Amino acid sequence: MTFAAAADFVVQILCKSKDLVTDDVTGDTVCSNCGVVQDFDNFQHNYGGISGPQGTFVRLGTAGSGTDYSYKDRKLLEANRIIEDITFRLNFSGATTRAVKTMVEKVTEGEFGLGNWFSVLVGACCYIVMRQNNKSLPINDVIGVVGCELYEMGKMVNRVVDFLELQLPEFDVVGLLERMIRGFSGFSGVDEDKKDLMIKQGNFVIQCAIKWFLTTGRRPGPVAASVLVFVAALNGVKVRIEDVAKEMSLTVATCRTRYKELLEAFVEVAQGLPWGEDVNVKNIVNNAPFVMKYMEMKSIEKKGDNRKRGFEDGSDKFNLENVVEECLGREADYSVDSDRDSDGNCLAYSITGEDHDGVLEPSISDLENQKISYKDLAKIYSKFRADVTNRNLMNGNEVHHCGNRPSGEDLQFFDEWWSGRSELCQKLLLEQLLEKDVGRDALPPSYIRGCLAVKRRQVKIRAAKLRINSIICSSNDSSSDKIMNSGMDAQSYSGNEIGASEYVKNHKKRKKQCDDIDWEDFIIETLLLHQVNEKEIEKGHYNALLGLHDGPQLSFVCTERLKVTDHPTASPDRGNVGSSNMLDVSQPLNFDDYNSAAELEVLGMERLELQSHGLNCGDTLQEHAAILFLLKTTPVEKLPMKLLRNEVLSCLKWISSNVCGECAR
Amino acid sequence: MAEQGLEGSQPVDLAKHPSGIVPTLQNIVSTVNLDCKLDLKAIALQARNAEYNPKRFAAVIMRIREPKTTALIFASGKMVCTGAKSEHQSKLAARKYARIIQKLGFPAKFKDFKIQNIVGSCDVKFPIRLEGLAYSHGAFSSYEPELFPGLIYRMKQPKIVLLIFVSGKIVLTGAKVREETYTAFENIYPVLTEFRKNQQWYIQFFLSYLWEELLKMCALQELDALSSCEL
Repeated sequence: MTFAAAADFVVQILCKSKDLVTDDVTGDTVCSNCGVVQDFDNFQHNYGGISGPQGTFVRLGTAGSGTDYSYKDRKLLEANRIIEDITFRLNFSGATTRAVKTMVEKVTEGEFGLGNWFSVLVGACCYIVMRQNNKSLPINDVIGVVGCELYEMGKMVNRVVDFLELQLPEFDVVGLLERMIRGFSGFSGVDEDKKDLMIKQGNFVIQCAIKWFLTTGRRPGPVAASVLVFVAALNGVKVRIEDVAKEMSLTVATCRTRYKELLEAFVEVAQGLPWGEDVNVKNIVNNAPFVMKYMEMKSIEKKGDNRKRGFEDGSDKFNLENVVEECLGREADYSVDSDRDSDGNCLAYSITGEDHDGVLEPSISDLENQKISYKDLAKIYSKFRADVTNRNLMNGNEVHHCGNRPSGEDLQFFDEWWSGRSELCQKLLLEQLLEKDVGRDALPPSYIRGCLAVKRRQVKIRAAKLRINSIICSSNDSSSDKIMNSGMDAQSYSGNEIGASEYVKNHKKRKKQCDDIDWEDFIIETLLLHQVNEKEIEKGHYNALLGLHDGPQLSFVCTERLKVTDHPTASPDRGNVGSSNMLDVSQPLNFDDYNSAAELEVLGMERLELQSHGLNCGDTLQEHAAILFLLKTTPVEKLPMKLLRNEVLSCLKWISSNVCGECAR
Repeated sequence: MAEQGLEGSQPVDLAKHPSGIVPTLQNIVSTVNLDCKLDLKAIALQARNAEYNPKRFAAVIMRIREPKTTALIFASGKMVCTGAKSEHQSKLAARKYARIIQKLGFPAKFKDFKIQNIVGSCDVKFPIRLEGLAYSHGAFSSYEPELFPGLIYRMKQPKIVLLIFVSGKIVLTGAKVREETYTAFENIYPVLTEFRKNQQWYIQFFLSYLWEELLKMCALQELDALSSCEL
């Protein structure tokens, strides 16, 4: 043995080659030069040590990434893990999780999947399963868990719904509100009974909101949040909108808007109360119990019971006395009326009416069986008010002085006003809901805004027609008369316009209403000159109309006019620059009279009001004058961009583009 | 007198539009084949009104002012023209673009012009209960306020998609010819009237009364103005 090894060694030495290669077939090391097989080279390290596994190692799968599963197995495992993770984070029960899994399997045809899209799909399936079970899981929550965009998630939901040919039931806002009230951390200190009460009231309020179109076309989350805040305020729990929005991952501004809309709606309902004129957005929360009571009674169309404390803030003494007088007056009326009524019903009411303490439950149940006309109801209201007034007059002094009620009284107070017997406290079908009367029937805010926009445009069209007419009329006269006349006309028209704008202001509180001609007026005039139907202009699709009717030849006119009207000194007679045939005479008249900004200052703020020229002006008279003086030497187009307001910029752009025509070619 | 000249109102053809409302066309998308390979870089360099950013989008974006439209011009010679307000304008604009390409030295033709999409909009002037509509027309409509404020109504015949909003505004899209838009609107209008919110007539009445008063006032002033003109 030693000899043989020594012989090999010798051979190797003889060969003198260091070129050893591994034979592919045997695995032995062979000298490439002389072909001598080197032995003792087949040693394989015993993998795993002495106690390591014996036998043949078989590797599963194709990818050598270190796991012992195939890609498919691994994918399924991962997918299941993702599903479980997401459902766990959404607090799903076992059955719901299984439903989600089945749905994912159905959608992917048993393949499941990996990657970002898969978690979106799982989220979408979670959302759909919850919707099918009529539980309201806000899509925001799902997005928060999955971590994708709303758009992406919405698209996936739609795809799944289309693929499975499902029909999702309508999103349940009422359920969402209940969920929110139960889950809101700010109510952790509130006991369960009160929460139940709040849920009932919340259901009532939110169904009113549905009825008033406050939810249609809006995301349910912010509406529900605003109702939550409102109900909390009713029950004396302090909750800030910001906190709710943050916890529910909603946009704060939207929640605020919805809250404001809700308050405004309640104020409108409050107009049905005798002290309605004194209720406004500021004090509506204090008045809300009465408003709710009123609405509740209306909704059940039965006489309510405990309409005691018929007063808003006790501190409002003056108001109180008014109400007292009014109510007393009505009581007198009522007594006459009830005498006249031969119907037995009325007697019953008057009996219950005398019952001061609101222990009316038995009589109510009797009354519920009877149909009561509205007229009767109104009488009963006034009767009750009168009673209340009397009572309050007698023991009313403390009511007068309590001011902001202490919390103890608060509780007692809130126990009284809410009976929770209205059907609106439960979730109703839409048809049932719409039939209920809660003392207000509203139109959707977007619709009202649309109507107002049309009205505003009508006013503008009207004014534009007057301007055009005046110029067509005066164009026959001599030029001197022309200036005078049109100057006069312009004044009368601008007066007219102010009236019109005031009219608009009454209906919609616009921040700024300039009685001047702005870009919109120019467009309207141009369109009118193109014989566009007024009805079309009213719709306000200016771009479409300009595209259809505006040719290059008239845009020139418009440019000229803009130059003229943007000139400061044209402002006194801006009415006469309204047409093409006036261009030559409506050049700046007295602009040359001023040689410095200081001279312009003398004219005062009103004359220098730059709003109409589409310029951003400074705050002071000096700044006004300085900017205005720029116009003497610089045409509007050359002014620094920051001085121009946006609408003027777009107008200029549009005009210059039309004038330049096809210069591109 | 002069006012009549300004009116220029064509009455709506009630036989064609029984609802009395004609949707306004807002956008027309058309395609045309210029039938020649284009060097987009050369076009972008030579034409002033073109922008080309191959990293962002593999087409030259070109705009003209009259009719105000935008075109996407691809290297294959296909072109998409958007933004026109009528079919005629769209074709005119496409021709103008083709002419520009020709002037830049490419053998552009004008093949297979086709209107691909027509978008229209209108206002039915009453609010709509989207929930009710979604409920009773569930097969066609999808109303998901969490995702989109409007109701998406997929009409089968003609195959048009309508976006219906609570304010009564409607957007119709997907038509190849404008008649499809009109038919779709006439089909949906009776459905919408079913779900129109019962308006408070007295409020409407009050508003219209105010309005009439205002118009009267305007008319008086107009008379004054006219008389002063004639003087």
